[in-house]
Amino acid sequence: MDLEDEFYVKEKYIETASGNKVSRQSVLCGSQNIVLNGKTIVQSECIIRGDLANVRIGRNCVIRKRAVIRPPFKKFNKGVAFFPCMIGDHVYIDEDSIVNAAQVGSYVHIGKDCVIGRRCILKDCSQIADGTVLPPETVVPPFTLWGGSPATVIGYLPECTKYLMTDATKQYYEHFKPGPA
Amino acid sequence: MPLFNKGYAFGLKTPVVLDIGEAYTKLGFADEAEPRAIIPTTIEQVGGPVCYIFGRNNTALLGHDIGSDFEKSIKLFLEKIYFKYLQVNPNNQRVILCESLLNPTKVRETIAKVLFTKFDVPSVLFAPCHLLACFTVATSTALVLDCGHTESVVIPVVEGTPLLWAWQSAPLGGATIQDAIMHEIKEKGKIKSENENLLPVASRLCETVLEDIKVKACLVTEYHRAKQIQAAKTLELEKEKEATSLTDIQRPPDMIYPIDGRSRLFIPGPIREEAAEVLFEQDNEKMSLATLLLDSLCQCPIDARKALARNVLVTGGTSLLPGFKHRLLFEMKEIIKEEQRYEKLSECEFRVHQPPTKANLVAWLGASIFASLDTFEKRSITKEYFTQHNGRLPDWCVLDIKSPDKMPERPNTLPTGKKFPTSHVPSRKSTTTAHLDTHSKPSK
Amino acid sequence: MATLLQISKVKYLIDENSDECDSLANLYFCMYCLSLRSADVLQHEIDSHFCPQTLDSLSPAEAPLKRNKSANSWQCPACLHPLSTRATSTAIQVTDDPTKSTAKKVYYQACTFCRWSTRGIGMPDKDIVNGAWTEKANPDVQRVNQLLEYYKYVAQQEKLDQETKRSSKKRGYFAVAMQLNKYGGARLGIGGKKPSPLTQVSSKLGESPSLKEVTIEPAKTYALEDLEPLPEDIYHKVVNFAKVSSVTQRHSHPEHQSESVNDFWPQKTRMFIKQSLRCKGCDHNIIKPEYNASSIKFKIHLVAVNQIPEIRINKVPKLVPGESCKIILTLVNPTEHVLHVTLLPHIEEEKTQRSNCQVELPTSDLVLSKYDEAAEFIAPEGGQAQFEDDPEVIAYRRGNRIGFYLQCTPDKDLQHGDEVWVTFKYKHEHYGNTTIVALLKGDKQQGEPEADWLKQTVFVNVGRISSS
Repeated sequence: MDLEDEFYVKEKYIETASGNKVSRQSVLCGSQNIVLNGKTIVQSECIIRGDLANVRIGRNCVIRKRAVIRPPFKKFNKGVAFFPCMIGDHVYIDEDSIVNAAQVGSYVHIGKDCVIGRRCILKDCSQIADGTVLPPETVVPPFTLWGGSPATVIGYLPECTKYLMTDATKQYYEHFKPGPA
Repeated sequence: MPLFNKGYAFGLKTPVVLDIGEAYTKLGFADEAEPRAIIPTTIEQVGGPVCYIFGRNNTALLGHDIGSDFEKSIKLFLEKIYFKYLQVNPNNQRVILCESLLNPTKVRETIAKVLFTKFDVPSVLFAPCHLLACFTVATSTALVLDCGHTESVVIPVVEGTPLLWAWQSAPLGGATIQDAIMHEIKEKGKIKSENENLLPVASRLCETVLEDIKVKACLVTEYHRAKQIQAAKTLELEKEKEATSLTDIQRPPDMIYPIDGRSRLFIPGPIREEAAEVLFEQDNEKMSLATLLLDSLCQCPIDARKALARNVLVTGGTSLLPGFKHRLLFEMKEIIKEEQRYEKLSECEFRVHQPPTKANLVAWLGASIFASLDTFEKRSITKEYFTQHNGRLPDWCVLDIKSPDKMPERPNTLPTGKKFPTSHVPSRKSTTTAHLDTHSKPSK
Repeated sequence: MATLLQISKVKYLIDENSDECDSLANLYFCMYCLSLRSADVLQHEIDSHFCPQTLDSLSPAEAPLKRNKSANSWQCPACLHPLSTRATSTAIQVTDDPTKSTAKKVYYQACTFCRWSTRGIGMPDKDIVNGAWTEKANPDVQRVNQLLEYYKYVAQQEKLDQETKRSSKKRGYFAVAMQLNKYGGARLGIGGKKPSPLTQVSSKLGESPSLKEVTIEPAKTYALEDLEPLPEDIYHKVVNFAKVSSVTQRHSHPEHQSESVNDFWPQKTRMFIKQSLRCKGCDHNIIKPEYNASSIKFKIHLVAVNQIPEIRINKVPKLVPGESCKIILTLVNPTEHVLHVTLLPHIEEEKTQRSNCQVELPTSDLVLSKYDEAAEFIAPEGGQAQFEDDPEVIAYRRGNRIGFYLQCTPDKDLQHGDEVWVTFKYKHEHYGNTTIVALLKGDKQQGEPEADWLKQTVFVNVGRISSS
C-alpha cells in the first residue's frame, strides 16, 4: 500500500540544503554534535541529546513525534562516560519511542512506545515491535523481529527487508509535504 | 556425553526425539540425558493470538474433521522445532515421536504426512509413551500412569507389551486443576486494581495466570488432611450457611498474586491444597486417579498383578505437584481396604519408581534411549513405505497394511468410547522386540 | 516495512493448483522454473549458526559439538535475557603482610533487565572474562548412561539372536537350538544372563562381534513408607510468588527444573541460524546468505519483489455496496528493462475465490519504464515524454512506477465493515538474468535478451465497506 500524503505547516519546519526537514518544535540539544545526512525528517517534540555525545543519523530517516534519541552512558569506577549514538540510513523511529542505543544499523524499524536500552546494538534490517522494552546491552541480529518485555525474538523478517525499508522511508519523504494548516 | 554419530549409517545423524504433549512439547536428540528444550505446544503468529495446537479452543481440531488448518499449524510448529530449537536439517535425521495410544489416527497420520512431505525426513516411528517410560527404569513390567494436561491414562506393560485391554483413562489433569482454581477464585477471590476497591473476579483469568498459580502454589495435600477437609465441607453444606470453621486443622494462609504489575489478586489460601483434590476425589462414577490404577490392575492377568503393583511408574507433568506420589499410594492403600470391588488386590504391595529424570520428561528419556539402539531403525516407517501406502500408517488395531486396496475402513470420527479389541493377548517375548510390535512394520 | 506498507493487503497466488497465496515480499521467484515459490515449498538448509549476542559465526559442523549453544554468552535463568559480564575490583589481602591489600579485577555476570546476578546466588567471582563459567551438570547423567549402555547390549544380543534365527532357517537342524535360545532371550531382559552357547559359537564363526556383557542394577522402587510426606509446615507458610520459579523458568532448564529461585543457575544462550533456501523443483539455490552473522548481503537473492512488477494500492475512495468507484493501483517495475503489462480478468472458477467486487480493467497495455538507481538524483520530468499515456487509464507516472485507474463495484450484499477483495490477473514480460539465460542456452553471443510472458493472479484487499 502506498503511503498517503502527510501535510505539515511550512513555517514550522526548517528544510536544510541536503533535504533534511526538522521541526522547529523539536529539541536538538548540542546541535553542533548532531549530524543529519540528508532527507531525514525530525518531527515535532522530538528530543535529540547531542549535548551528551555525538549523534549521527544517516540518510532518509524518519523520526516521528515525541521520539527521544539519547546517547548511552556507561558507569566506570571514576564516573560516567557517554558514547556516541550512530544511526544508519533508512531508519524509521515511530512515535514516543526512546532510543538509547549505541548503534542502530540501516533499514531498521522501531515501533511506537519502545524503550531501547543503553548501549544496545540494532543490526541492519531488524525490527522492534510496538511497545517493546529492549533491555540494556542487547544485540539485535539482522532479520529478526523483537517484541515484549524483556524483548525476545518473536519473528523473522523477509529477505527483501532492505528493499521494503528503502521504499517506505523514501515514500514517506515524498509524501511529507508542506500544505494547508 | 556421547554426542554424535554413534553407530549410525553414513549421512544420517542422531535421531530427533519429540514428545508432543497437549500443553508442552519436549524435544531433543537420541542418546542424550535431557531434552534440548521444553516449549509450549503453540504456534504464534506475529500480532495474532497464541494458539494451542491441541488446545480446547483450536477450531481446526473441532468437529472431528481435521482439515488443512491443522496440517498447517503442525507444519509451523515443526518448523519452529527444527529451525529454532534443534537447528538441524530435517532431511537427514530420523524421528521418533512419543505418542499416547489414544492418539487419534488422523492426528498421527497428519503429523507423519507433514514430516515426510514438507520436511523430507527419512523415517518416523510412533512409539507408545507408556512403554517408552519403562526404559528409564530398566524394567519390562510396570503399571504406568501418565498424568498429563487434560487426561490421565493408565496402561499396564507386561514383559515389554502394553496390555491394551486394561487401559483406563479419565479426564483428569493439569487443566482440571486450573479449572478448579478458577472456580474457587470466582467464588472467593478478590481483585484490586489501581485506585479501585476490592472487586470480585468477573471474567475467566488467563490460562497462563492460572497455570502459574497452580505451579507456584498448589500441592497435593496429605490423605488425612484431605479427609478432614472433605468431612468439614459436607458438614458445612448440611448446616448451610452456618459458620463452621475447620478448627482442628490449620488452613494455609491467603495469598496475594500480582497481575501485570497493576492489580493484585487475593487468593484464598485453601485453594493450595483443595485445587488438586479434583484428581483424588471420587466422582459420581467413583473414579479418581487411584481407582484408575486399581481398575486397570483388576483387568490384568492374575499372575502379573503383583509384579505390576510393585512397579508403579508415574509420568506426566501434573505428577510433579508436591506430595503427588505419596498421596497416590496412600489413596490406593486406603481404597483397597475400604472398597469391596478391590478386595482381590489386597495381596498386592504397591511400590513406585523413581526414574532418573523429572516426571514430565520420562517418556522423552525413554524415547531417547530407545532411539539410540540399532533396532530403532528397523522399526521405523520409511518414506517409501509411507508413500506406497497412501499415507496410511499401521497402528495397534491395524497391524499390517498389506496393500492399499485391502485397507480397512478408516473411522471418520475420533475414538470416543471404550471400544477396544480384547483379543490381543501378549506373547512372551524379550524386552526390546515385543513392545513395539503394535507399531512395527510388517516383515516381508 | 511490512507494517508501514501494509504488504499483506495484496496477495499473490503462488500455485495455480492450490489457493495458497501470500504477499509478494514473502515470496521468492525461481528464475530457472520461472515461477513463484513460497517458503513452504522450498527446502530449508542450515548454512551457519551464530550467537545472537556476540554475533560469532560457527559452521554447521562445529555447532552441534557445542550443543548449538553459544560459547561466551549466557542467559539469565530468571528472565531468559542475555547476561552481561561486569568487571569490578576487590581487595585481596597480600599473603605476606596481612595489613596490606591489593586490588584485583574480578568478573561476575548480571542481568541488565531483572538485576539477577551470579553474586546473588553465591557464585564466586571469576578472574577471567570468559571461559571460567560452567553450566550445572545433569545430576542423573550417570544413571542414564548406564541405561543407554545396558539397552545397547540387550539390543545387540537380540540382533545376534535374530541372525542365528535366520541362519537356522537355511540349515534346518539349528531350529531346536534356536527355540531354546528364544526362551533364553526372554529372560535376558530382566536378569541379564550370560550369552547362550549358541551366540558364543556364532561369534567365533565371525558372524558378529563378541558382546561384552553389561548388567544393570534394577531401579529402586519406593513403598509408601519410604516416601516422605509433605512437611507439616508447608501448609502454614505464606506463598511468596516471587520466590517460586515459573513454568517457563523451570522449562528453560529441563534437567533441573528447580522450584526455588535460589537454585537458579546461568545457562548458555541458544544459537541462531542462517538458512539458505533451495527450489525443490530444480535444485537451484534461491536464497544463500553470506556467512558473516551481521551481514545483510546475500550471495544468491531471488526474492520475488526484485523480479515481478508489484501491485500496490494507491488511493481508494469510499466503498459503497453496488456503487461503482474509481480506485488507483500502483504498479512498480523493479527490473532494469522496460516492461509491458496487460491486465486480464480473473475467471471465477468453482473454487471459492475471495473476490466480492466487479472490476473493469483497462484494456490497453501498461508500459513501465525501467528501474534506475540514479533516478532520484535526476529531475523527475526527464524521460516522461517518451510514453504517451492515456489520462483515462494512467493516473500518474513517476520513474519506474505508474498509477492506473480501476473501475470497481463492490457486491450489493456486502455489509458495513466487510472487507472488499478485488481479483484480477496480469501478464508481464520477464527478462531472465541475461548472462545466466545465455549460459543456460549455451549462446556465445548475447543479442537482445528474450522475454518470457508470465502471468500472475492477485487478490487485493482494497478496504472495507463504509456505511452509505
